[in-house]
Parts: sequence; structure tokens; C-alpha cells
Amino acid sequence: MKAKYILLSLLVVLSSCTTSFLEVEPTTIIPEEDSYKTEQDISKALMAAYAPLIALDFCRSDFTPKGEYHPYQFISDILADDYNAVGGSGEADCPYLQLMFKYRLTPQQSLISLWEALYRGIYRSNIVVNRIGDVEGISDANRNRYVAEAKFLRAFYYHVLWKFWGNVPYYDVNPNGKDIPYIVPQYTANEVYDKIIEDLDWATSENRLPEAVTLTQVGRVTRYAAYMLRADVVMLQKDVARYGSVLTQLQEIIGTNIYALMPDFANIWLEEGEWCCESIWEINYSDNPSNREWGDEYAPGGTIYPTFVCPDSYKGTRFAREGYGFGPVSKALKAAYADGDQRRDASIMDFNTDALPGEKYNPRMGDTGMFNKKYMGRADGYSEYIGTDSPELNFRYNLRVYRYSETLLRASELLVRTGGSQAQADLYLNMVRARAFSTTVDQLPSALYRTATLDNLLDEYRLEFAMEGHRFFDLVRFDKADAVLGAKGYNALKRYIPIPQSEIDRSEGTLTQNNY
Amino acid sequence: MTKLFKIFALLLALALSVQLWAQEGQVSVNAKGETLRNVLENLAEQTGSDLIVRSNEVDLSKKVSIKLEDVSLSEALEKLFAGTDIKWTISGSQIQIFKGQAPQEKTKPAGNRTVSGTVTGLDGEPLPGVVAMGPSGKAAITDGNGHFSLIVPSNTASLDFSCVGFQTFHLPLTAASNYDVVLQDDVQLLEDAVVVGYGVQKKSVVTAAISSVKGDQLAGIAPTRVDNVLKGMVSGVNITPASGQPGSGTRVRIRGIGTINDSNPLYIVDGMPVTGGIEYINPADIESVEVLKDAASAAIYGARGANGVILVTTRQGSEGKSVISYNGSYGIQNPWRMPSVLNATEYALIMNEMEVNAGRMPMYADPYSYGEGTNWVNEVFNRNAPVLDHQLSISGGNDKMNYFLSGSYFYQEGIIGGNYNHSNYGRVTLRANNNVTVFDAKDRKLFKRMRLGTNITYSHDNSKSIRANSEQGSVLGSAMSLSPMLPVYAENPDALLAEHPNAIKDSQGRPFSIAGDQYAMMPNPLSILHMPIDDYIQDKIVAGGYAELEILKGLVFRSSIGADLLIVKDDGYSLPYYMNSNQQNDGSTVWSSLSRSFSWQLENTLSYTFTLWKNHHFVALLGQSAYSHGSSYVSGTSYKIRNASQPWIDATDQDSNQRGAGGSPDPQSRLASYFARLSYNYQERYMAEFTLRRDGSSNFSPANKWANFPSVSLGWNIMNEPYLAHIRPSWLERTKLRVSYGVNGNQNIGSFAYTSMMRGIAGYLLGVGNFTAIAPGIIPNTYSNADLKWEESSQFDVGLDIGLFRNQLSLSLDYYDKRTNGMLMKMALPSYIGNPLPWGNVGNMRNSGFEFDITWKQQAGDFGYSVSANGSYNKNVLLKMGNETGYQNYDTVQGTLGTISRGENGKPFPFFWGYKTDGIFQSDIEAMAYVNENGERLQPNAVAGDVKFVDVNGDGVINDDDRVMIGKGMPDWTFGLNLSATWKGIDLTANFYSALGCDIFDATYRADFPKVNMQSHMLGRWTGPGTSTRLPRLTGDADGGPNQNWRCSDLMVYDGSFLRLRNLTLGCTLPERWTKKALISKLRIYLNAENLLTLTPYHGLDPEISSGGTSLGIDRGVYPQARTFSAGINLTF
Repeated sequence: MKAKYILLSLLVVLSSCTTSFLEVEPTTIIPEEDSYKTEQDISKALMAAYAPLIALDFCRSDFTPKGEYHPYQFISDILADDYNAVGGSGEADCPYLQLMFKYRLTPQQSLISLWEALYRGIYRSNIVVNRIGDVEGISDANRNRYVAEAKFLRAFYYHVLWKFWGNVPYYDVNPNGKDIPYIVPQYTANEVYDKIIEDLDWATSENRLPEAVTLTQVGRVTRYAAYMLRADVVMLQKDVARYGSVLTQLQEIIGTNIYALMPDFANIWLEEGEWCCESIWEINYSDNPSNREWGDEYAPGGTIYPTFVCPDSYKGTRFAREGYGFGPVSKALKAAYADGDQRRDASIMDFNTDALPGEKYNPRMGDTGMFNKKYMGRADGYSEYIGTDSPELNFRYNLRVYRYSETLLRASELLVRTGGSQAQADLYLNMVRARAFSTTVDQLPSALYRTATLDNLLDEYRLEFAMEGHRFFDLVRFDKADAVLGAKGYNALKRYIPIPQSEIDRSEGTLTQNNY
Repeated sequence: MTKLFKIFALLLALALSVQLWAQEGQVSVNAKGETLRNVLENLAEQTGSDLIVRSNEVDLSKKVSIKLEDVSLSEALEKLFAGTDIKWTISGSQIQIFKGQAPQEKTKPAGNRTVSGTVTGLDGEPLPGVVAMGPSGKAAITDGNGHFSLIVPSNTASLDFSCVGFQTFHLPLTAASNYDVVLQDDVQLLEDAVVVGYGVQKKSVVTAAISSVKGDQLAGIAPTRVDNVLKGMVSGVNITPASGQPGSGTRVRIRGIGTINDSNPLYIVDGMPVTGGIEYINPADIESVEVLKDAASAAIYGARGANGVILVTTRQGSEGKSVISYNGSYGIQNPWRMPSVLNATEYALIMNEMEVNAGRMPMYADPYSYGEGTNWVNEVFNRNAPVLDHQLSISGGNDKMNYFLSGSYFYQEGIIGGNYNHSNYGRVTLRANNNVTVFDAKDRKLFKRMRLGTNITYSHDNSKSIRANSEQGSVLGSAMSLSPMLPVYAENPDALLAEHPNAIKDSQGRPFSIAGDQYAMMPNPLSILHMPIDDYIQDKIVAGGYAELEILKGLVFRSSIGADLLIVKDDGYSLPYYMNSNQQNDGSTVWSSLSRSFSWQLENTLSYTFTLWKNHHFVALLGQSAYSHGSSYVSGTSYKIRNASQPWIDATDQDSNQRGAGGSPDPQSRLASYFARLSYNYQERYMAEFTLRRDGSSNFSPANKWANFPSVSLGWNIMNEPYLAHIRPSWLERTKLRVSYGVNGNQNIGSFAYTSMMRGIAGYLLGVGNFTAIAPGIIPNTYSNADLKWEESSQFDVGLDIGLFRNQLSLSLDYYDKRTNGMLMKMALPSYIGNPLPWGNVGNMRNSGFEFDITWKQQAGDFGYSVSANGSYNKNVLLKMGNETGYQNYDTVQGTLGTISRGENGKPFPFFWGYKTDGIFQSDIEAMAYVNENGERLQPNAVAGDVKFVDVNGDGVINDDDRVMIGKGMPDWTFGLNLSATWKGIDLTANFYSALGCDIFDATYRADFPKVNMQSHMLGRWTGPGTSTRLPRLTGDADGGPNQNWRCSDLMVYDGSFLRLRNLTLGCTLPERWTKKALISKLRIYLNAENLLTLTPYHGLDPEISSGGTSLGIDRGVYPQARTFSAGINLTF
């Protein structure tokens, strides 16, 4: 009898409530329902949306455990003709870049890590746009600015996808697997363009974005950065209907007097040239503070790009010692500059002619003795870096995305294309040229003076923005890509690179490969 | 600590006092009005004798009173039967009790007679199912009351009584026709008791597939690593060492790879689940290891049993005098095989040939002038590396308590770099196991017995590990890749130091040579061995205690608590160094990390053993378990080491607020479980067992926290059927058929994967110049999946156990079919969803196979021997990858090979994946003639000596789509063979282990760097028609020339089967009469050889490779296992 009671009381003990035992507390993370409640939360969410910009030079994905190098300017330039070869140690060094150079990129190699970084930015921008509605206590001005910045970022990330891949999956509300499926529709390049413009039109209207930001906020998007992105996208799309509005916006930038050309072109690329009077938008990199490491490429810190385009085993005092030797500059590019054009020696480091005594390096694939001086790693480029593990990944070189000279040249081009004032167009073009020859428009020798024609503008873009990721898209925009790049293997089918095979494999048949 | 020693001293004193009253052959008896039967049985038990009573002559139920102390047996019997006409004889170990005539052989007339009687056990309970058999083969079986009746020829001299679980009893027949037979429990079979989850079962009634290894099977071999305890000993377990590096881990897979996720088995040590493997256990402390292979046996651990369970039971003291034993051994280790690489002359010849093949000029004018050059492999191996082991244990006890105390020290130097204090491993362990009987009142109805016990272990591990099995920067990898022309030391030290002040120097200050860029990430291996190395220290305490109360007869309540504390410390630093242009650093760094993980478990069980209607035996178990695991870590980093001899964070010049730090606790991971088991057996003929476990895990959402894991198993001891007694052949003793089915779970994922959690990140940099600062951000941790639930694996098992020839030969066969459903994996969604993928229940896997274990034992006079063999066949199929393509790529090798393994629906997981080849083009004409149906050349760049790749899919081009399965690392068959023989004091044991049907991917040659050295088998390359059909011509072009001969293909896949004599031990126990004088009860000296013999077609350093990837058998230059010769001594006092 007694046993029965013992058994019974035991059972009571056993079946006592275990629910609370299995409820465990998180330690370094917080439940989502506790977040996105305050303005501070939204501001943090916005900063998270900026963060993937840093990874556009190099990052990993699950498919590329060791990471892929894809400096966003470099990968568009290897599609054009200003680099003699990809460089590096050989065909096996970054094979995706080597294949891209020859327009033979395969879906298996197609820059999945860049693709992923861009979509991370999109996912995070969507959070800001879609969650801010739940947050109370934000002024309308701030609310509009947060959303406008997020929409700018979303447009920027999509515009990179659109430039390289064209027809890409599009979503502006994040999937959750329940009411919004994980598999989202693929848009055509034109549809993607429409969505980008929709975001940019919203972000650039009603002064939602500020004209300028305070010193501690530099890096956040201004209205003029958004104008520049909009100009870039509209002109590449050749969306004639929007030329007028773009021109107006560009002329608004010119009219503000906030920006001016740097007298000395070479200074733009120095440390003091960062956020100079010519700079409209840059991606910020720093060696102090620097959290960026191999394996943690999204953390804010420096960039690998200067290491990437520096020569291998360099001996000397000017540049970083351990470059990877990518991007040997083509002789044709150097030859394209007229004598006296200060942009030539500021853009190209030519060891054949400019080497200091004792300076040498190990020539790598496709070597021409010439390198991209705009971003070549300076000897002291990471001198404030704390730590020893990844200094070469932490150069304090901001990536100059939009410069005022681009505003001038694009405005000039649009004036020509829309039949606007030729004098105005000529002035804009020759302002850029006058700076190149260290003079003023008035004093520019007539031999150097150019009339703003499409051909002259295309040439000028090449000289002004050499190795800044312009050339390929300019050639496409001017319908010159076949003519100029045909010999290298380019044809119309090569306009968009293949969509990563792993994405097609995982998209349940909804993703169609580009005809490449 | 002092407390521990006090307990120790107390126990020692107790044990000694126990010893005093145990004397040879003396009996004591104290009976007041007890039955004669009880008294006699008591006496028989004390002297270990068999009791034969002619019950028709002697009334056993007669009450007697007698009190005697420490008298001889005959004295006792004399006193007991004084004044009666009962007579007795003692002969050997038999006591016969009778009246009248003493039994003796008589010539009997021919004819038949009837013999009948009752068979009981020692406890007096009648035994059903006992077979009584005469020499003629006539037999009868006892009924439910233990009665038997048998007609035998009159001249029959004796009968044999046999029953599973009891010693066979030989009954000499007298004139009497009625006999009472008392059968003794079979000690041998009792030792065959099998530890099951939450209990022990007699092997004869076990219905599940459980493999067991006993400590005494291992005593002779003295294994130094606990996972080696199982290797080759039982079927169904595949054990592959990560590498030969001391202290390196082992990959244990029970019945194949159950899931893509974590397929490590669950380890339970003395009831406590332990995390991070069982390396901390001193192998000599092990009493038994049980492997629960099928779902039915593992179901009691339902929550985590899906990959099988390994139960380790440690030794306990036993009643009797205390035993002190010491075991010490010392051994020397050398590689069992030295890699053979080209010498300088061969290297120069090959490099010249490669350059010529690439259309360039030879590099070396006079290859023969270089002689042998540097043999880098010889430079890095540590000859005669020592390994030593000291074990001391003291155990003993009495009927009130017992204890087992042990301590051990083990040290092993690595055969690569051990002489530079790299790759070394040391371990100290301490253990105290105690059991106390608080009270044992047999006569009480309630609260009959209470026992308490504790198990406490402490272990301290210290390892210094080098990178093993890696194609970049490992010591051995570099040694095999560097040019033999490069000297070990710099030829011009001053010039080298001037250019590279941070070049690595040896202890005398001589700088090592620096390998050029052409060897990429492979620097001078001696400079790697002269770099500082991380000091990795683990302290682990596993402690447990229990209390067990027998409330009523058969009803036992047990409560236990256990804790597992692990503290891991890792200290390291690096000074400015220059090894080559790829591996250099101007700064110094020092780092230190400390992590602490702690788990506890509380369990309560109630078990009830009872019998209904005489023959229906039940054991019911009801239990509850709560388990919680948590960990935390702190780590710090600093730079600018002030003084190289003080590599600590506080001794750096780095500003203290610019040092790095990290640390946080992880969320607790918890499990709550209830379980019940009912075991039933009817006369040990029919057995059935039902198990149900209900587990709740903190890793899942409230809706999916709980899951049920049921199992059922049935057993049938066929030979115990009465109707078979007459027809079974006499040599067939037992045959048991087992069938089981059950479901187990797996929850090995992190916390909160089911819900959306926010993570703070360092967001973006804002500001310019000195105003630059990090603006913090937040993002959802990953995508969440509210539907996430337990991974389940269901398994069907059918087995047969057979015992033949007085159980000298035993045989077990098992077939199983195990399916894992809803494997916990990251869902295969596109990356474009923009955040880390959610976990999901995707993918299915199937493992099916067959296992056998055969043992033959024989004792003939002084000579005894046993042979046991086991084998397992496993077929693994990934049924569903869980993504759209049905495949996923896994291992990659740097260089030209790229991806080399993948998992794919319908194929074994994972498999080697690459091009199929069809030999070597022996001529240019043959290469030209290799065309598709349109007449286009399939390999337009191929010339004579190049590899012929197969257009597998027949689409007329050879490309990535032609890559197929070209091998697999997991073996089809594994075998173990254990031989042991004893003759007088000499013992010999041999343990073989073999794997068949597995492949090795040889990724040691870096074709992307044509100047690297190569293994000697590459001399068999193609040099002209008919010279080779496997190795292509070598060329100085990276990746093997225009034909890309060195893309990933079956040319790199070799048969990885092997047979290894893992252990050979020859021992000699000195005769006791010699050693007794020194108070030594046993002295054994032995010689032991590990890995004495390895037969394998594979040319590489070791066929056993589990490190370096998802797949087994990827050879990136593996650290080979050592061949060890050691001598040791066992001493028992």
C-alpha cells in the first residue's frame, strides 16, 4: 500500500512543471520583438544597411570559403580595355577574374560572394524601409531621411546587380518563408531599372536627403550623391524621358557651389583628398578604428584594394611591400594621355619611367610595369592599424564613388544629347580638361580645348576616370563596346555576366540564366 | 584535495581490516531453527562446492540449530550431522549427503531406468527449462516446478544439466532414482552481463543490438587512447584517427554516417553524458564499454541517440582484500613508413623533363652534380620519440563499501617535431569511485537496502599541436614539397639576415633557408618547427553521485546527480618572423583564451523487478532526467611583446585600451526527459522490451520542444523451447533471435534557431579624419524557422545470437536498416535572401548493413586460446539532399583540383567527385583520334602522354558536366580480428583491424606550383609509348599543361583498403611462488608493438585519415601513425 503512495508522490514530482526549465535566456542577442522600437534602433538598422558597402572589395560566402576578390571598380574595368591583363600569379589566381577578362566567366565561378554582399545590403535596407512605420517618436524630417537613405542604399545595391547581371531577383519586402516565400521573382533588367528609379525618385524629391552632413556623419548619403546615382542609372539605361530631370539635378549640384575641382589631380588620391571639395560620395575605409579581419569582412575597417593593385614583393619606400600584382595597366591607356596631362602620372605608376633608385618588384602575369596609382597601397597606408593579423586587408583608402568632375562631364553629355546649350556643354567639358592641364578654361591652349561631342566626351571619361570602373559602362552607353572590345571577345551576349549557378540551383527553377 | 586523501586513508584502513578475517577454506555458520537445506547451501556457498543430496534419503526441511566459527568444512558437517545416521563425503568440490550406502560405481544390469528429480537455483527457486541429458543424447526438460523425469539406459553413469545462465552440472548417478540438483550461476555468463541504459541485463535476455568490450579484454594490451579501446573489438563501429598526432581526435561512426549534420555518437560515462569526447578517461579505469547500436537500445536516450550511444562504465572496487596494482610502460615511436620523395638528382632530372615538355629549355645543366641534396622528410621526423605511461590503482572493499582509486600519467612525443616540443601531448588523471551500503536488511519488508556512491575524475591534458593534413603550410606538407636542392640552413646567413632580419633561426642562431615563391605557402618546415606554438591545456572534472534505495523487494529508487566541468586554456604568441614572401609578419602578437563549460544532470529512476504467475518476469523502469549545459569564454589579444621570454598580454607595450578582448556566456542548452521501459521475459524463452522516452529541448520553439521516441524489441531463445530439447543437436547450446524497431532523435543545433533574434554589429564607419568612428548597427541574427523540430532516425534491426560447443563458439549476426528523416541542416535557399540561411528539417539518409561477431575459446590443460573476429558491412545512401539540385559540394583542395567531394541524392555521402579517365594517350595519333560523333576532337590540346578523359554524358564535349563519382572514403567493410593465447604464465595477444572498399584521394601533389617536389611514385610517369597508363607526362606548365592533366580525376583516387596489426603483445607472468616473498601477488612483464604491420596498396603515409574535410580519406600529406615498441610491467600487490 505504502509503495503506491510513494509511487504516486514520485510521479507528482516527476511531472512537475518543466516548461520554465526549457525556457533559456539569450546572452548576446535579443529577441526581435524587443527591437525596432526606437529611433536609435532604426538608426542602427540603417548603419547595418551601410555596412555591406565595405565588403564590395572582398568577401566570402558559403560557396567561397576562402573569399573572392571583386573590387567593384576593378571588375568593371577588366571588362574593358585599360588593363593589359588581370594580373596576379597566373590563370589560377582568382580564376573568376581571369575568365571575366576574357568574357568567359562560367556560372560556377560567377562572383557569388559579391552577389551575396549586395543582397545583404538590400535585405538590411528593406528592414529600415519596412519597419520604421512601427516606430514612434521620430520627427517627420528624420523619418523621411532614414527612409530616403535606405532607399538610396537599396537602389545602389540593386544598381550594381543590374549593371553586371541585369536580370536579377527583386524584392523590397524581405521574405519570411510563410506569407512571403523565400523564392522571389526574377525581374528583367528593365523592370529592375524601374524599381531603382522608383526608389531614387522618392529619395531625391522633397529634399528628403540633406545637402551636406556634419563632420562626424561624413559617409552618409546626401541629396547630391543620390542625384549622381540617378544620373548614372538613367544614362546607362538611355532613358531619354528622364534626361531632362537628370540634367536639372546635375546643374543643381553645379549651382550649389559646394563642390569644386581639386586643382591638383594627384591630390585627390592622397589621404587629404578624401572627402575633398571634389568628392560627392565615398565608401569609408579606415585602419583605425578597424575591425576588419580575414573571416570577418563585413566589419568596418580598411580595404584590400590597395594591396590588390600593388606590385608583388615591392622593394622601396613609396608603396606597400606586399602587393598582389593585379591590374597591369595597358600601354594604350598611358598613350591616350596628351603630354602635360597631369592625370597620366597621377593615375598610372610606371616603373619603366618613374622608378626611384633601388625600387623593384616581382613582375606577375601580364606585367607592363604600370599600375593603378589611384589606389596603389602607400607604404604607410595602414600604419595606424592595431594588430598583426590582417594589415594588408586594412588600408585607409576611401573608395571615391562620385566626383564632381563626373557631374560636369555627365551634365555636358546630357546637354549634347538633349540639344541643350553647346556653350554650356563645352564649358563643363573644358573645366575638367583645364584642371587636367593645370590651368583654367580661359587659359587652356586651343590645341587642348575640346568641343563637347559624344566622341570627345567618351575620350574624356576614359582619361578622367581611368580605372575607376567607368570605361566598360561608358562604352556600352555610347554603343562602342562591340567596336572597341570586339577584338577582346566582347559581343552583345556578353553584356551581362552569368548568374551564379548555385543561385539558379537553389531557386526552384524560377531563375533564368542570362544568355551569355 | 586534502579531503580526498583523508577518504583514501580511511578506505585503505578499512580494506586492510577486511582482509584479516578472510582465511582459506574456513567456514562459519550461525543458524537458529533453519532448514537443513539452508544450512547446507550456506556451507556449500562458503566453500564454493557443489551440493548433491539424495533427497529421498535425507529430509532437507528438517529444522536445525548450529553455531560454528572458523572451522573446516568437514568439522562443520560432522557437528551438523552428529547423532544422526546421515553420512557425507567431500570429494574435490563436491559435497554429497546421503544415508546408507556411499555412492560408488556398480555394475548394473542392462535395461532402462527412470531418473527424476528437481532442479533449483542457489536461491532455492525451482528452475524451469533446464535440460537434463544423458550420454546417449536422451534428454528431458524441467517443467515449471523444476521437475524432470527421464528414462535412461540402466548403465548410464551420469547426467548433465544445462541451462542458459547456469554452469552445466555433471551428476553422477547412484542407485537412487530421485535427485535434487542445485545449479550454480554461471560466473562466466554473469560477467557477460551487459550494461544497458539505466541498468544491467543478462546477456541472454538482451533483445537489442549492443556490442560490449570488457576491461579484462583490454588489460593485456594496455591501450593508451580510450577510443582505441573499441577499435577492431566490435562490429558496427568505424573508428578513424584524425591523424597520427598525439592527442588528436578520432572520428567514431556507429553504423555509418547517420546525418550530414553532427553524426558523433552520444557518450555516457557512468550515467553522465559528457561533451567533447572521452579522451579524458584513463583507459585502464574502464570496466566495460558498451555500444548501443540499434534504436531499441539507444531509445532510452531517445533525445540524442540517433547516432548511437557509447556507454562507458568505470571500474569499482570489489569485496575482498585490497588490491594495489601498478602498470608502467615505456615505448619508442617511429613512423611505420617513411615518405619517399625525389632526391636532388631525381628532382633536377624531372624538372628538366618538365621544362622540355612545356617547350622550354632544361633548367639544370648537370642534374647528377646535385647528389642526394636535402631530405626534408628526414629532417622533420623525430626518431625514437618516447611514449610513457604510469598507472596506479588501489581497490578493494567489503560487504559495506568498496572503493577504486587510480592515478595515471601519460606522455607522448610526436614523431614529427616532438624533439622541438611541437606536437606533444601529456595527460594526468585521477579517479575515485566509491560505493557504500548504508544498510542491507534482508529480513526487512520495507526499505531493505540503501546504497550510495560517488565517481570523481579529474584529468589534465596538455597538448602542443602542429597543423596536420593540410596542403598549405603544414610541416610535413612543406617537407614533401620543397626542393631537395635547398639546404636546411641559409648558405649565406649574413646576407639573408640583412635582407630578412626576422628570418627564423635555430637555437644556435643559424638562420634557416628561405624557400622561394615557387613553393607558395610552403615554407621551410624547420622554421615552422622553430616558431612559437600554442600551449593548449584542458582541465576536466567529471563528478557524480547516486543514492539507491530498495524500497520493497525488487522496487528500487535511484537518484543521481552528475556534473561535468571543462576548462580550456589556450595561450600563444608570435614574434616578428619571415618564413617566405607569403608568410611573414613584422609585428608581434600574444593571445590567450579561457573557456569554461559546465553541464549538470539530475536523474531519478524507479525500477521494479517482479515475477507474475511464476514464470513471467518483469522489470519496469520509470525515470526522469534533467540536463543543462552552458559555457562561457574570455579571450584577449595584445601586440608589441616587450620581451620574447615573457609572451603575456600584460607584458606588452600596446596601450591597454587598444588591446583586443572578447567574451560572453552562451545560452544554456537544456533537456528535460521522461522515460519508461518495460522488460519482460518468459522462462528466458520469450523476451520483449518496450521503451518510450519523451524529451523536451530548449533548442526548439515551444510548439516543437517535445518529441516522443518509442521503441520495441523482441527476443526468442529458441533452444530453450522444451519441444526442441529432444531434437536439438548437443553442440548447439543457445540460439536467440532478436528483432527491434525504434525511433531516436538528434537536436544538435544552436539555441534560438527557431526564432528571430537581433545581433548587434559594428555597423559602418562615419566621419572624416580624426572624427572617424564606428556607428553601431543591428541585424537579425539569421533567418528563423518556427517549424524547426527534432531530427528523427528510425531503425529496424534483426539479429541472431548462437552459442555452440558448450558456448566455446559464439556467433552474433545483425542486419539493420536505419533511416534518418528531416536532417537538421541549413535550408538550401538562394543566397539572395540576404541573411544567413535558416535551419530546417531537410534531407534524408539511409544506412543499412550487416554485422557479425564470432568468438571461439578453448582451454586445453595449460594452453588456452581464443579467436574472435568481427565484421561490418554498411551501405550508406543519401536519399535526399534537401535542396533543388540534389547535390552539394564539400571538400576543396587548393590549386588545380578545386572541389573534390560532394553529396548527392542516391549516392553514398560524401563521395569523391571528378573526371573519369581512360588511361594515357600513348601517341599523338591516339590523341588526335579521340573525337566525338561529329569528328571534333574531344581534347584538342592533348598530345602523347596526356590523360584521356571520358565524355561520360556523351554530349561531345568534356567539361564540368562529365564529373562523376570516382570513389568514396568510407569503407564498405571493416573487420577486426583478435587472437589471444596463454600457456602457463605466458600470454600473447594480437589485434588486427582492416577496412575494405574505401578509397583515398591523394591530394599531396600541387600541380599549380610546378617546381614543388614530388613523391617517388611519380617517377613512374609517362615518358614514352607504353611507359605508363596511369601517371601522365609531367610538364612545367601549371595545372599539368594545356590538357590540364591534373584536374580532379580518378587518377588521384587510390584503393585505401588496409589490414593493420594494430597491437601485438607478449606477456609473461612470473610464477607466484617467486613473487610472493616480495608481497607481490602478480608480476607480469610484457612487450608490445603497435602498428607493427600494415598491408595496404596505398602508397601514401597512412591509409587511416579522417582529418581535413567532410570526407574520410583525403590525403593532404597526413601525419602518419607511429609504430611503437614498448615494454611494460604490471604489478599487483
